[in-house]
Amino acid sequence: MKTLTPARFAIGLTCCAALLAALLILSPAIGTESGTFTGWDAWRTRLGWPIERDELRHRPFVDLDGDGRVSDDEATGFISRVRYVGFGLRFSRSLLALQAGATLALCGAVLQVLFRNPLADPYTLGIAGGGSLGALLAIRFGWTAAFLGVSSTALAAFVGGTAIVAAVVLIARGERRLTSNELLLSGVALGLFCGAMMMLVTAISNERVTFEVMRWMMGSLDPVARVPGATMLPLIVPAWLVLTWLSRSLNQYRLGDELAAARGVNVARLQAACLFLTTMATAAVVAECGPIGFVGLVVPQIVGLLLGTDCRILLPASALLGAAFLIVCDWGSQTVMHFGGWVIGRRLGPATLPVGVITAVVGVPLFLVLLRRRERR
Amino acid sequence: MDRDLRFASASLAAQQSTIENPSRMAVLRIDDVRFGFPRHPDFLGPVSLTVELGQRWAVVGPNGAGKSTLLRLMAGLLVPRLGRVVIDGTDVRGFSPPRRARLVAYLPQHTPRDLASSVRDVVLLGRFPHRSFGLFESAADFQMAEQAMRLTETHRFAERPLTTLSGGEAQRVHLAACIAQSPRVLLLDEPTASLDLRHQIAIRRILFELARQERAAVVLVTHDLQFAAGFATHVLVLHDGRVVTQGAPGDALSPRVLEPVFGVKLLALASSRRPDQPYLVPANEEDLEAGTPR
Repeated sequence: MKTLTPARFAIGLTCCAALLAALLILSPAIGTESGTFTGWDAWRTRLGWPIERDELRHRPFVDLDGDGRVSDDEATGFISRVRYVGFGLRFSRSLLALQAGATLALCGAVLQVLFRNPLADPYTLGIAGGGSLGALLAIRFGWTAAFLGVSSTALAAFVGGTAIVAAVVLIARGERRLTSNELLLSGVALGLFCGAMMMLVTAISNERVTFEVMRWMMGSLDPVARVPGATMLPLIVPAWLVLTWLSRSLNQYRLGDELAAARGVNVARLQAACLFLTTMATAAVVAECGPIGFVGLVVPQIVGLLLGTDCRILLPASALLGAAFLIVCDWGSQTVMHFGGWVIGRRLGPATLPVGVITAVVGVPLFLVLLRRRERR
Repeated sequence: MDRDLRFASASLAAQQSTIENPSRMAVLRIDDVRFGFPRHPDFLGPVSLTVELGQRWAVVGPNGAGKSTLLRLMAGLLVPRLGRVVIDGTDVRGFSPPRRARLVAYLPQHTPRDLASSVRDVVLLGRFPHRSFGLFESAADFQMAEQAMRLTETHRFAERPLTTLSGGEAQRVHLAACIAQSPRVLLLDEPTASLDLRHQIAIRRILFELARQERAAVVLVTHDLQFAAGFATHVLVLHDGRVVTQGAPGDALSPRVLEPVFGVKLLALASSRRPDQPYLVPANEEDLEAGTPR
């Protein structure tokens, strides 16, 4: 990979941003029950541009009384429906996916550098597991109060994630190194423990809570707030900014603790800052969207192959492409049952699958291929 | 390359006798420094020494004598329990980490080789302390990196990822990064360990060149007494954390000094061309197995 120059940096990030923008522009048209209106319709209603009545005649569910003409009521109904479905539901969902995907991929990239291990991500390290347990307890016991705009679910998730990180770091303290495999394995073990505890809490809950918990655990991008992700933005945006700002120090950190320290990096402070910020951001995402795996594992690997492993571009590009990846996976979760049903000729189960299923189905094979590539090199 | 090296090593002998610092400028001073770990509070010290620009120091001694610890103290990575480390007239503790890194470069014993970054990228990382602001290297930074790569003869594979290099090549790349850091003091922990003779000579040539033209001081830790004798203008012998002797290599690297330190009988073989630099060899096989490290 060529040395990163401002031009290469700008081109790389512009391409990623353009892809993300294209996906966002398409997003009002794609979702469950696709095909009743186009993206062009959606953007025209949004921007207040006129739509010809004649054009609407051939849309499904417009000419409701079947008289061959589009009345005023029918046109207004169509437009309000397009607005609600296109922007109230689908676009908001994609914005939420953008935030969650960017955060998870960025955290994955940072943790992979921090632990010098391609297997590190918020899930393998147990951060998400601890966060999930915390969020689950908050849901189970009905803690709903918000604190400075941060929901108590997010706070509980942060406490849970921090507890796991603290435990993992304490276990590693004997060696005073963050890079050992033992550390990663203890993270995996603690994550599994949290999974078991979540099952325990679910098992001793009543039906209503169990249902709520199951929906949340499957990972969902249903927008609930008026501003998508309003409860997590105050936590994730600072994390994005600071982590990206640390990229030059992380480049030095790659060379090893000693060399980085000799170059003037405060290694202990860098590690602490990265752990704190990734835990905070992951907890916010887990509390809002439930556990969504594999984004942080796969996306940084792909970015590393495409644009190089220089942290200055790896981190922002991972965030942009992680957002794109989760948006596409979310479309998949909404449309795959529809297409499956269309292929076999009958209607299939629920309309929307948990997005975690899609990220796993896409992410695991990709990850295994990348792992083999790395082995061979 | 072979011819270059042979040429370079032939010219070393000529340089060596002529190098005597005209301006006597203490760039690194260690005043009565003591350091210890919780279990060994008196691990190292007291050590005092003064390093001047253009000098080449070798720190020798048995395993566990405190050589690497002393180097880390000089690099400001460890803080002495007592005493002071003074660089360019200022106590190291008064420096911010980047400012310290602009004056002192440190090459640890273990450097990574499993980086996908290109050689040029790794060398450019050496410019980090000089840019407190901005995301990208300036043209001047690139120029410094090119210079450092040329000096270390790594510019021929500047585009290759570090993973594809041999141990000797990778070591030269990390050395180039330290040179690109343009320090006043260059500290190296066993830079020639596990390198073959050709690469050892190459590293020695680079360090000579650096001390001569860049006007930096070089301090290195080594187990290789022959390398120390051929390299250093000054030698510090450490044993159990105490300074046994410091001075010219001809005096410090003598059987009289080193035999009690290493616990080995040594023979000094004087070379006719360089009588001031005897070759030290262990007296017999049994002693070699019983005493010398490695």
